Amino acid sequence: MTLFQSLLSAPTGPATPATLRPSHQLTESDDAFALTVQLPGVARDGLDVTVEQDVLRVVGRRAWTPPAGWSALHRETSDAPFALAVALGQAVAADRIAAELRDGVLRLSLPKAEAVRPRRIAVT
Amino acid sequence: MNPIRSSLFPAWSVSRSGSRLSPWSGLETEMDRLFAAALAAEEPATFPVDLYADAAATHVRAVLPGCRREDLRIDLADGQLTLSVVPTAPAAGDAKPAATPAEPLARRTLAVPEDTAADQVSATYVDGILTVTLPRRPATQPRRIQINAA
Repeated sequence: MTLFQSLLSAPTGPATPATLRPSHQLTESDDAFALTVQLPGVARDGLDVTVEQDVLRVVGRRAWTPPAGWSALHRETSDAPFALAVALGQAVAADRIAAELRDGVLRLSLPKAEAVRPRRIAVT
Repeated sequence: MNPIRSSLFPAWSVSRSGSRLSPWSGLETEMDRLFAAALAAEEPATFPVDLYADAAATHVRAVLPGCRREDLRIDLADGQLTLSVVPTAPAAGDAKPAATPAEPLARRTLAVPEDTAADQVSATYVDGILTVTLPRRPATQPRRIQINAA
């Protein structure tokens, strides 16, 4: 392989990736995990949150398209949908997950399963 | 993918653990740290923007998820549009409480077209995207000045 070829195939990734991994933050409290996912441009209609086989999946599609007559002068964002997968294992009570989407930020509350919640044992 | 084989850096510069070593690595790290420290103290974060134009206006779409509307500031002066996020009062449970309330968390300045009608600028904030519309002034018509008879 020549240097030129190796530069062309350098691992820069495709110009338009199929999906984008959104910026996100996971925090933990005694009885729940909190997952905050940045999904700018995603409305409720374009958002799918699913839990299947202990994997939480967030898919957010951007519905906005430029109105007729608008031409792009300069772009710094992508139109690719956001996709995030988080393995929950047995730690989360999937049936009690709550989600709220506001101003392009998804906040998920992932209550801990009873089995992993810290328990204080009274000493007698 | 093997990160070493596909690297653009020559083999000698790659340590066994895969990290890049250069004769300047210690200095680079130190310089980066100094720059980061110096910049962090003064420069607020930035954010991506898209620019669009149609027949009547220029449109700026800024990616600012999770902002409170009252914290978004749009300033237009001297042909410069400045978008900033300035926390007015710390919200309950806010992840980033500002050290000083007047200090912007994020800021971006863009040059706007000269023929922008500054008094007709409008903005919306939907799904974490701030859209600022900068209408153009109608093209100035050449005016002929009549010379009054003396």
